[in-house]
Amino acid sequence: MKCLGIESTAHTLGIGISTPERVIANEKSVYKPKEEGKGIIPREAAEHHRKTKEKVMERALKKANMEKEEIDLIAVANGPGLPPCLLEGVEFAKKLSKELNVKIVPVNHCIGHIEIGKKDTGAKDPLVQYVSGGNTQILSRSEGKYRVYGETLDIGIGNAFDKFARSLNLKMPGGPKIMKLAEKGKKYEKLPYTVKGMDLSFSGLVTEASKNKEEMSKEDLAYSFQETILSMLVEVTERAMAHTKKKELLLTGGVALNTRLREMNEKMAEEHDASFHVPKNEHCGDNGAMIAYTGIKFKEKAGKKIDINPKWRTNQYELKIKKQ
Amino acid sequence: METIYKGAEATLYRNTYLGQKTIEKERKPKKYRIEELDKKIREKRTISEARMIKKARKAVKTPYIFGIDPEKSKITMEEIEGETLKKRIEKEKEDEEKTGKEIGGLLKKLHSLDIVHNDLTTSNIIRKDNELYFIDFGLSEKTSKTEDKAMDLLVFKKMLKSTHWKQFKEIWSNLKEEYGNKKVLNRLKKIEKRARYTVK
Repeated sequence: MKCLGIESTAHTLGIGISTPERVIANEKSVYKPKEEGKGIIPREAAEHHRKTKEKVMERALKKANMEKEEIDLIAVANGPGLPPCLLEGVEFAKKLSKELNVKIVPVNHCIGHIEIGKKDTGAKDPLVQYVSGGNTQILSRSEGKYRVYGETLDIGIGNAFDKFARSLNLKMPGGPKIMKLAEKGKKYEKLPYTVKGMDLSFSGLVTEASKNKEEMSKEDLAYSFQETILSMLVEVTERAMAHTKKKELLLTGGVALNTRLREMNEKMAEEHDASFHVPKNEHCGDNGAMIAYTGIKFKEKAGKKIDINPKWRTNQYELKIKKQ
Repeated sequence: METIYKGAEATLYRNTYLGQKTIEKERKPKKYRIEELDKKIREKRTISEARMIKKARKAVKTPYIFGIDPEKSKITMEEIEGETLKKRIEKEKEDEEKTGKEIGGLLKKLHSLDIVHNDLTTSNIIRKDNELYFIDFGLSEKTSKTEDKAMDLLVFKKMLKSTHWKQFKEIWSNLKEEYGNKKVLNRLKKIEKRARYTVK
């Protein structure tokens, strides 16, 4: 069985192809705002997806060394995400489904990140730290659903990095640039640290750090910002770890590429006798392969009808997993 | 000294003080945090916890504080010899309607003193001699803001939903009813509606 997966929930138009055993293609094209330093403009992003989808699919088919007609199933991330972007992916899925006479599986974008992470790392029942531009959630599976233990109460952690980066006039995406700057920082300056139970709030920290403090170097400021925000995140994850008593920790999503975050999680997991896992780099950020792979896992959900679900919560996805 | 619990935030030891059974709560250094930040957080929470436990006592039962050592981030307090609500709910020893109302009433009193707990879970509530004790005030604050009070409720609500999903509805609806403060409850609704997936 070969499943073609479509990811178009935000910046990335990704097309992946997977068999039940492995990913055989993972191609993408990433939208960049026309005006430098600006955030995502949904309509512009959707236009990018519309213009690039055919080409990206061609590349994926070539990589997989197969013809379009060999596709047995289409999977699409129909939420959560930006409505105009989601529509592009869903319309494309419908068109392909009609053309090839195959069914479509709706895949929750967040579940896609988790499932590919489990596949890459062999983690069976992990506590999941899912961190991306707009999402920051601590989840774990319990009685057929992923339960959300902790999450951001305002903006996603990736956006927090981006907003702070903009105050330093850095180009998007800001996360990697802040990480680089922080590596050169030495002096820690106190910044707002907000955790509420297992939840987090970033806006106070971003506002304070963005008031460009003249007495501080960019490097020290980035260092203080990164240490604060990641400590908050790892602290709430640790709480969920103690609470759920899980013995595996899986870090996934675009911000999983942050090496300092990996290091902190590893130390924390060790203190709880838990193993720490991160997916392959190309599976951390948004990608089509994770949608294709997850589609196969949930193929019994396949049908001909599908709609977008922009505010789909992770804990609303039923995990009726059947043996393949 | 006997270690009785190793949590995410602190390690608890059992000891005695003038013939009383006590708990020593020590916030151990976290290797994942840089030292400057780690020390600040542990000291601040230790001092603030002891203070808030005393202040909150006007509204809810809390353990007595016998001593505090900010340098070691340690608080010595009375041991509450009971069972956590988490265990009691799991063992079906709690009447959901009654318990919901009880917590709602206590939160109403606590919030009327302008105190929020900020980390209320069923593991942080102990039943002893048929009364509820609140513990773990490390993140507690003095605040009169409606937003903060609503957030305090939200933290507990989400914890209930993820941990006790079978009992959630019954406990939460009764808690809300007894809590009663419309302004805070309306704000809670608003917070929950705030779109979190508008930007990825």
